[in-house]
Amino acid sequence: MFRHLNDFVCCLLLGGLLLFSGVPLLLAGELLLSEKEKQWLARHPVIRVSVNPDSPPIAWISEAKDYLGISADLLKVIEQQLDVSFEIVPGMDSQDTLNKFINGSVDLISDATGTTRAGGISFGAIPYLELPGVIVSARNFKRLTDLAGFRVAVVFGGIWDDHVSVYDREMAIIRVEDPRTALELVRLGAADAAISDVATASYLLGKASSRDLAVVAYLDQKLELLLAVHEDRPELLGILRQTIAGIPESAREAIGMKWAFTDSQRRGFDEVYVYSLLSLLLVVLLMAAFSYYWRRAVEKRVAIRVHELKAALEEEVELRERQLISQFALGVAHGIKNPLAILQMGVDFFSGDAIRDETERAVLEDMGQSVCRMELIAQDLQILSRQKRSESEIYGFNELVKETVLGYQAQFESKGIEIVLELDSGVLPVLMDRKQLKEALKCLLSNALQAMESGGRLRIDSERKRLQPADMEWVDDDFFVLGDPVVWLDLSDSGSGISVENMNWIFDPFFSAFSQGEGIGLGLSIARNIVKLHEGSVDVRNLPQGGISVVMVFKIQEGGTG
Amino acid sequence: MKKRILVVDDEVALTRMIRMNLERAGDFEVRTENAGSKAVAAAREFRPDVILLDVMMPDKPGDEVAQELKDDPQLSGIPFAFLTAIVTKTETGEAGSDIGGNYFIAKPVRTEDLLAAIEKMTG
Repeated sequence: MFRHLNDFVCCLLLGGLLLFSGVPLLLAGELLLSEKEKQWLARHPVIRVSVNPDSPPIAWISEAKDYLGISADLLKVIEQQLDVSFEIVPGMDSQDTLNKFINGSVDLISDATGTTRAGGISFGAIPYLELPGVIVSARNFKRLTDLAGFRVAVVFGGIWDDHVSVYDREMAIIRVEDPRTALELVRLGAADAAISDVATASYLLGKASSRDLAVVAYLDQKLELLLAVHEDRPELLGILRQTIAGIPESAREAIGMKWAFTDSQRRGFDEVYVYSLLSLLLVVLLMAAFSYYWRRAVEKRVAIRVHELKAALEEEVELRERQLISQFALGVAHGIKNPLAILQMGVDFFSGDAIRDETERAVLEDMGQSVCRMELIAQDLQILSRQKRSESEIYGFNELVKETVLGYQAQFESKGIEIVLELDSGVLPVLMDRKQLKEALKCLLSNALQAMESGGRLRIDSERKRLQPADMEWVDDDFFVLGDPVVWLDLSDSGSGISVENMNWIFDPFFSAFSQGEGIGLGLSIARNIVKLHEGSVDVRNLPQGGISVVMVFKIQEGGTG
Repeated sequence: MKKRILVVDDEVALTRMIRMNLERAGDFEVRTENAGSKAVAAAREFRPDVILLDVMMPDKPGDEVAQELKDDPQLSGIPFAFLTAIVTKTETGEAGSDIGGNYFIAKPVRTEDLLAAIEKMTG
């Protein structure tokens, strides 16, 4: 892709240079030709040209018999300017080309080069392009003298042979037939470097697609490309001299560049450029990937740490909160109960024999009932303050439920509440402080009583089960894992349910969803406190049909007995 | 013969009310002390049939007094009950009960329940 793109860019460059140099605009009539020259041109509308058949990129004949190369491009420019045609007479080889020139069968050679070994032929030379010499190698030679002690391939009898001959003692010079062979020797490792002109070297490197070889240095010496005009055509010599002089040097260089700076130069450049770009891209990608994953890792670590700290903080706050509530509740309970004891004794004292009438009896009864109510509040506070189970025994959960419900039977009946007991038929052994757990159940039953002041239905289900994924949202994951064998108790009432805003606070101490009642909002707090002491869970949800469902979950003691 | 009851509690009004109610309710001779540190000496001197002992007293807590009573050969046979606010009637019932080898009565207690407890303890 790069190769084609660069060819395209080179063509554009050449076209642009030719256009702006004004070359196509020059006409033959504008040349200051002598009369003889004009007459010669008139007599010779076709000029015969001999070219080397295989000397790319300076001149060669393609498989389609087209004449291509730097010299061909130059002739096209001259054709435009002089309004003449060039007839190409390719030689069989360089010698044959020369012979055709010598015997006068052609008027000129378009790809002649300045060399001291031209064989003493007399001709008119018109230089049109200079191509710098280059070192082609896989090694990093910087100048010609760096080649001392190395094997250097050059074309026999060419300008570069002349040039390196002075280093015959320092270098092992390998003389070959053509530049292609010279480069091949280097590619195969039979030579360390080859010397050629930049156009030929670049062109051949591009064709050879050798990754290792490149133009590694430029030499001061230059190959001069010439139009060699037969000595018998002085008019043609004069005409072409003027014509070449009329073509700006930049335009001629552009012709050379089109071929010189083809694949090899760009290959070397492209490879370095592309590999550098790819390396840079890779580094950038690696850095981006590293940065991304590093940031992700840090974010993950920070998130985990924040989560841990938050959880620890919440636990600490909850613990401290529980301790404070516990201390407060205990302090209030003790502070109340001694005065209550005195009041109770006082009521008893006056109830003994000092009663004078019914009014006094009624007052004393009211006082006695008030002492009882305050005692119950103090007792609730005291239970709330408990931080551990007093006793532990394995007891049947169904039995505990039945005993507790029995104690409330009369109250439920008096309010027109139907109790439906659907208890698991098996034994449900649970490790418990029976009195405490009974107290928790009492709190829930009291709650149901208050929720159904005008009657209703309380359904109590117990079930032995193993925790399923759907159950996990009901239970405290500090105490339960998936698959735990548990007793699942569900108390569903037909009351009015709990508002969404109250749902968040129902387990908080001193919060009551009921506007009236005997308690001070400790029931569910006590229940939860006791359940937690038993490493169980309690949760409340509103039911779609109205009312609430309270679920208590405890671990079953496997192998235990009821 | 009158039953001798020693009541030890730092609440003066409470000990007075208990003494008044017990003495009026039956054949009791009641002595009160308002400091835990005086309980053992009072017991030695008074030789009660039952001791009612508060737990949370500022100078000497009731459990220490109880231990001294148990350790004293002359007094170890005297039944005693903790009359205390640290337990609830959920745990003890109205007339108290044995918890971990000691008899507990929850405050506040009604006189009739206290009489029942004394009766239970003296058999």
